[in-house]
Amino acid sequence: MRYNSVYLLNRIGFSLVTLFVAATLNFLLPRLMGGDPASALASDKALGSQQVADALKAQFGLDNPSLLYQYGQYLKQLLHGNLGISYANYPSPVIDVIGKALPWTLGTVLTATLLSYLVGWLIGIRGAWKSGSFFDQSTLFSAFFLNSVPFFWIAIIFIMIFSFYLGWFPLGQAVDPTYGAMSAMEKVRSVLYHAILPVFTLIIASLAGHILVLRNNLMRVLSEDYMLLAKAKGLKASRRKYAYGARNALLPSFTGLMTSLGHVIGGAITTEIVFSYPGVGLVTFNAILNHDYPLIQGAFLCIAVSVIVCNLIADLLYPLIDPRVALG
Amino acid sequence: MKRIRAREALWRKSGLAVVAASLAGVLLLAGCSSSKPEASAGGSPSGGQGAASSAGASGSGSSGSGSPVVYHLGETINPEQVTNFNPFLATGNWSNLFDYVFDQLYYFNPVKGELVSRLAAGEGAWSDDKKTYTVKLNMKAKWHDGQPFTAADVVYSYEALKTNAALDRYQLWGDKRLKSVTAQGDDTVVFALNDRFPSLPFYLTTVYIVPKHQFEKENPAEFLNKTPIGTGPFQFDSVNESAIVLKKNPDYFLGAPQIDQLLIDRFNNSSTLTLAIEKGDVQGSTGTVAMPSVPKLLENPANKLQVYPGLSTYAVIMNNEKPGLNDPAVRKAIQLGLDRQSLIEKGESGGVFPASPGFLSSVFGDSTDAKLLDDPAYAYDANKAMQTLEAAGYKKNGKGIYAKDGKTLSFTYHMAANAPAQNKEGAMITAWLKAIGIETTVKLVTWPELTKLLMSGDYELLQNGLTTPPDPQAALEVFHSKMTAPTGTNTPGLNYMRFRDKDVDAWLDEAASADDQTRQELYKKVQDRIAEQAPIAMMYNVGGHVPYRVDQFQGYDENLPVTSALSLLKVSKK
Repeated sequence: MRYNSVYLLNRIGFSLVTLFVAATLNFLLPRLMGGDPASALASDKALGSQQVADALKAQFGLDNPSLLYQYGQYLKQLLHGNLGISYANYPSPVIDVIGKALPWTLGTVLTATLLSYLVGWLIGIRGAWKSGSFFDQSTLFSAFFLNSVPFFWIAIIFIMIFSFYLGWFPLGQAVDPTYGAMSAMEKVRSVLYHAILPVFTLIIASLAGHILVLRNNLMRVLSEDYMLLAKAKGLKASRRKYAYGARNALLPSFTGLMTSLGHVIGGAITTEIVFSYPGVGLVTFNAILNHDYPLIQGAFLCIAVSVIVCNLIADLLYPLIDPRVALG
Repeated sequence: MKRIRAREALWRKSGLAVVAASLAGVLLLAGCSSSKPEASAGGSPSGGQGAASSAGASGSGSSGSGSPVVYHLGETINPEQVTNFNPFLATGNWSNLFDYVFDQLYYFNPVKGELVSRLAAGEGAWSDDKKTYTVKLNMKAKWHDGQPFTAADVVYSYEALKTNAALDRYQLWGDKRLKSVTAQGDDTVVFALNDRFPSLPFYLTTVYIVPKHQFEKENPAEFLNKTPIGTGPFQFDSVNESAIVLKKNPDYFLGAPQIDQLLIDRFNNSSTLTLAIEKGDVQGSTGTVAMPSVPKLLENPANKLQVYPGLSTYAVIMNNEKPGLNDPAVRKAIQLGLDRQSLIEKGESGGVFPASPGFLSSVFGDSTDAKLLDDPAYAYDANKAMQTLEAAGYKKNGKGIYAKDGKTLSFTYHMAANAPAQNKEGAMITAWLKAIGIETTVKLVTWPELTKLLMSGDYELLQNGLTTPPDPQAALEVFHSKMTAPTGTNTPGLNYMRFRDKDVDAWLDEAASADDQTRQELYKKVQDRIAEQAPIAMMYNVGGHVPYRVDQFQGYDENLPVTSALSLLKVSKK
């Protein structure tokens, strides 16, 4: 038995407490922004009419100003799995709004995250193994450059080159505008075709960090005594490289991967905006601009839950990868 | 030893799985990238090569009785703007869509500042006491589902606003306004009023008529109306992540459109939309364009920009109750210190209209006091601004800032965060104010917070827009004291300036029920007083700046917003 029950209970209990704190902060933070959504909406759409503002407040359940009362309602609804009605999308429920954006985000950000870690790791391993080589020097240089460039800049440059001048890819959006009239095969092709450039951008933009972390870790591991012993024993180079070196060097990067996976659900705001891609990042960003409390809460809660769950999974997987953890 | 090997095997297995999954992903991507030329040859305009692509799409499209004419209109439409298609709702939809799918009784044409009949058959008739307005309907109209359109639909649409206060955004059912809306037979609607309300026809432009047979089964305040049925020139077909698809209504009562499909391409930002126009993927927008890209866009003679005045005025809004700003001389100096022409040229790349110091937009035609616009008395003049302050007894202190009786002219200046054009203009304005000896402390807040500050009065100077209904009376009533409240209390209307002037109140009250001639005279008086008292320092007027291409389509009506429904009716493929 690899797990002991204390470790398990500890991790799960800790996750539950974190979840409760996150849910509470989640309630408070949007309310600290200042400005109330009903008045803003009334001023924006109804010439600042007080009657309309009051009617909207009643509609949104903001007519009882007590924060404690609102908090009680929020927790009650949460336990029923109800994230509420979005103000800016009124009368659409939050769950629908997020649910519509989620597949697009998962499709692109998840693919990009996995690919970027994989490619980054492979490059990092090769670089560390042959440190000082031309390959190592050139990837290191590119990585330092890419690491200091913001996502949106790469996205804009890619659009200008590949979409505007070369015309290889669409300028943005998730599917062809005539999507509704397409056959199933064409639909799949349309979705993939539109996803290539955003995914590629995300990979390029996040690759550098993974290369650098793994390369440095592996360099450290390679200088350990047991690596020398393995070599002395005459073990094959590929075995030393992957099973002895990379495996140990990957431990910190594995935590990074799980955290990144937890954040996938939050989307990639800047990339989504530049590519007019309909993901969760954009929905959350607009929700903040619109003071759409229920939607902000819903989106952040999803992110919080997903980060906590991924961390829990990481904690549970860790003893499998690194036996020192569970027994410690 | 055994355990180590087992773990190794596990690691290798899971490692393999990751590699396999990723490889599958790479193959998928590679597969579809190689299928790309095929996709664009099959008529995907967004994947094509430059401007030729749309032409190719409709030219080399499917065989048979000629390929359909597709018109691509681009807009920034966010996901939260397609969650419903209910024209009563202020949220969750992109309101410009309703112009294409629905009709009002009258359409307000901002280019000419006049009303155009849609579902109404010509102008309505006032009763002698001016308390009833009778509108004949265009009975050639019918609903997209084939049902006949009648006066009952109009009555239902107005009644829905009465029963749902939150929907009555323009307060048509307010105290002195509508008493009842009734049908007279199938083809006539009678609007009865509690008091004289000469602006009523303008307000009728704000209500889209919905089909009673569809809406009466629903709660109009919550109905999502996923498949809208209107009377308009285009019928709703579908919506997807990239576009709203409309098709022509061949039976439209004002003539059938000549384009078969109207695709409204959805973008998330104006820069990509502008690129799409430049590339020819879309033919225009309803008014969104990245202003800094306009000069580049117009280098290509295929691209045009239509600019017309509108109902939003951007200004440095001043709280007239705050110390310093309660002195007309200070407000006047601020007004004189703003170089409005530079704001228009450098800040907005010429895409906006000059704003009159008398506030009323030139969209209102004869009601606007046109001479105020070029009156040198209100033109930019930094020296005159300083003279005005000195004449009122202000003296420069050691830091070069004017002060009088212990009050230094130092104010907070709020503007929106994350609004590059606004921030650039704000920087220009605060520098000009500094030059005339008025100090500002800039504070950046979110748009909703700006609104909150305006309502509560918790600000001194604030840069923002004021949008009025399409009615000169309502626009000028922004300065009526009934629309304001003391600092610390939320205003009931748009008089965020806390401006109070007994004459202005009296003139506006008289105009509310006067005949046309008298109204216009009274409006001129009000505008002159506003210019003179400077409760607010105008920046510019924002209406439409509509980019559009003329290389593939023709027939735009430039007397209307070129991409509005009534203009697109006449647009055809070259």
